[in-house]
Amino acid sequence: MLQPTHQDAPVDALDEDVHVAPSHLLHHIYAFFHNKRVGLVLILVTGLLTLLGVLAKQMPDSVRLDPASRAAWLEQARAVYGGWTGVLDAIGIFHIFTSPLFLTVCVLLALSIIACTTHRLPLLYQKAFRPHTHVRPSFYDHARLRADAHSGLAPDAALAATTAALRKRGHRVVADPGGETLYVDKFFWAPFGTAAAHLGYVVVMAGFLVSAFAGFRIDNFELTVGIPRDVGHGTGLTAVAKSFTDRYDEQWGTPIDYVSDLVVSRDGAEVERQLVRVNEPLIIDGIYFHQASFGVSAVISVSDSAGKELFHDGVPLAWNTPDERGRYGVAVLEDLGVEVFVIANASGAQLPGLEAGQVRVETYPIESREPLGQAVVDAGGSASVGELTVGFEREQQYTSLIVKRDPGSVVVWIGCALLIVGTCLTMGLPHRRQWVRVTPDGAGSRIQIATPDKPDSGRSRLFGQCVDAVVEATAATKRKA
Amino acid sequence: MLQTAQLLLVATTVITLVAFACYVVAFWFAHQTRTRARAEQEALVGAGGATTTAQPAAEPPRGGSSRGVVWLGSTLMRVGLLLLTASLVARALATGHAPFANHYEFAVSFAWGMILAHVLVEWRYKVRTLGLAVLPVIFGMLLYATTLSYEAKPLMPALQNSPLLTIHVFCAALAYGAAAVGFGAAVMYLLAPRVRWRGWPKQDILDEIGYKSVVATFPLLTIMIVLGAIWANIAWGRYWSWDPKETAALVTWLVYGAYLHARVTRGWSGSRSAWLLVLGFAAIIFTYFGNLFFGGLHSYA
Repeated sequence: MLQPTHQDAPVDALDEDVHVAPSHLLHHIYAFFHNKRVGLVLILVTGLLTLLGVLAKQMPDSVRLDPASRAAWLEQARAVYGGWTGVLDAIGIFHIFTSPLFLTVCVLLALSIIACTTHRLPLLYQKAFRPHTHVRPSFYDHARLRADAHSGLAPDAALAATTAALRKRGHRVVADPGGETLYVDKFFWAPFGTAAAHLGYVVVMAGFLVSAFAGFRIDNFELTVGIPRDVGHGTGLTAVAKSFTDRYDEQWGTPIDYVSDLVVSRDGAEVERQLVRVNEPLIIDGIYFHQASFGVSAVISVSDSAGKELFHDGVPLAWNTPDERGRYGVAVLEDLGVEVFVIANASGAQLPGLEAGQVRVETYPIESREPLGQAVVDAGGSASVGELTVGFEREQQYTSLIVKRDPGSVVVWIGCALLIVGTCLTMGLPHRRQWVRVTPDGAGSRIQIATPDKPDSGRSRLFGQCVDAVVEATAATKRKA
Repeated sequence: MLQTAQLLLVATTVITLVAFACYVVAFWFAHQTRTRARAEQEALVGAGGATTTAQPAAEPPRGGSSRGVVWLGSTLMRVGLLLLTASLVARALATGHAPFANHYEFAVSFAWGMILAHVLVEWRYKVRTLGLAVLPVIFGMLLYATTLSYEAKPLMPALQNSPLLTIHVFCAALAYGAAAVGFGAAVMYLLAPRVRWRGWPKQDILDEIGYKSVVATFPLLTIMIVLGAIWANIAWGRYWSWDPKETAALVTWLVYGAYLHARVTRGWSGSRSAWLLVLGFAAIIFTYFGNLFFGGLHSYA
């Protein structure tokens, strides 16, 4: 039978008053993140998720953000993934790089890197600027890389000669106040490369964030040749493609050049003109115009029943009809809440009821597929479509550009520079430490040199060169270590 | 000129095969010699002749020397390096751009990087048996290259950036070459406990070669990825697109990053780090061949 407990005594550990100081909690969180095992696991998990992103088909952003397209895409994916499709979609496997799972792991990895680096910096600082100049005598007997020599010079003279010889070889030599030990190292600043590299990784991630939330990006800035278009986004810029040229190799038929003759103006005044190619974007005030794709558009005009022109522009015929016999584009009249579909014959094909040089125009309310009207329009002619009058002038080439202002890219390049410099420093110039001890030995002195570094072949060779320099400078003879 | 480049590639492939045969024969020679010497030593010790133990081992083996055969294999690989370099130069002269622009050209460059790394590591560490693990990989890549079309098509617009094409892919060839040697060292490390032969290289030296290969691979991969991002920002207007090949390259970079962190901070060396080297090279092979299956912006490569 259970005995009644004292009213104030806790029943179990969880019944006890728990005093959690915020500093303790923070300390534990910090300790968790600077744990190197946690960092390693996070790197591997990032790698695994990234690999999943390669293996699993990824949903384009345009599809992901449109419920109808998304449903159709998932239906196609179901043929491959079967009953797992819903689960995988819920986890975010089909858009892994924007999924909460991946972003969470990235944030955790960034925190881990920051914690590891800040935790390690004091140690790096101490090793670089306040190194231990004294080690226990037994160190010289047990280090895996060590040397022992006898010199006829007195200890003071041997120390001075050793110091001079090692400094001549580019080593930093710090004398221990005890008077018999020298701390000798090379590339003491190189370990800070690891901090730079880790910082670089975090800065790159920060750059990704800045890119995602600052500036702007228009992926399909379509310019029908000869028709200007405002860039918007507060830039005050207007762009017009004077021409577009695509060239192909005569023998192979492969594309060799895409060129837009682009003019950018502000307040009606031309501010820049350039032949924009794939590798030659036009850059003005930090705004980039990249050549992306091209095609044919239908130049149309749309007027209301009063004859007021509501739209006059090229409509890029960028998509194919399901039977692939036609291509079509859409002009959205936001103010009217109407979408105007323009359909033309695809190259070498013909849609029923549509002759060469004609387009079919269909109008729909936005977010509805109940047609308001449709008509076939000849080039140079016009027709009533529902309550609108649609004129079709001609087909005209268009060029599609990517227009962006990306303040994040500068941040990314800074991070990349840190990453490269830090990685090369860390990998290429490892911190080389050794200690030299000079003690009286009969009329001369005993010189012991040892390093805690792993005795791989490269380190052994450098250590040997160091020892040889000391032996030569002090006219010593080596003893068997 | 293109035919000349292809002939040089075929010649290098044949030479690599012959060199590998030399290494196998030398390995067999050395194995037989040591086995015989040990048997003779044991026989003499059994007869009470312990003072003469050093004598039989010092005798040269009858009928030839493994050193001569391995010298031939080693020299052939150096000749192969020269021939493949000449092949790449000839192709560059013929096409007017660095030979890094398509799947075929990178297969040749990849093999070149591996041969270069193998020759350098063999010269530096004198671990001849490493050829047993590395040469089959090199031969496989060369053979694969010979099966691909060597016709030169004009560069597509995105590739018409000569400095970045050259440096970006050259870094990849060097990094992948070094990684192949690390992979060979890792395989030999993992096989070491199963190969009961004293002539097998010490695990310490294999571990060191594996680590040193990553010391070369990791910074080169970093530079390659960064240059790729810079180029993508110019050509495609986006420094990172999660394209399958660039994502696979990131996975490779993370694997080698994990190797370094595991080794430096967790003290992983030996079998565990050797497995990570195998994984890293598998990621490289996946990166190279992956776009054949996944397409994307790097479909030409």
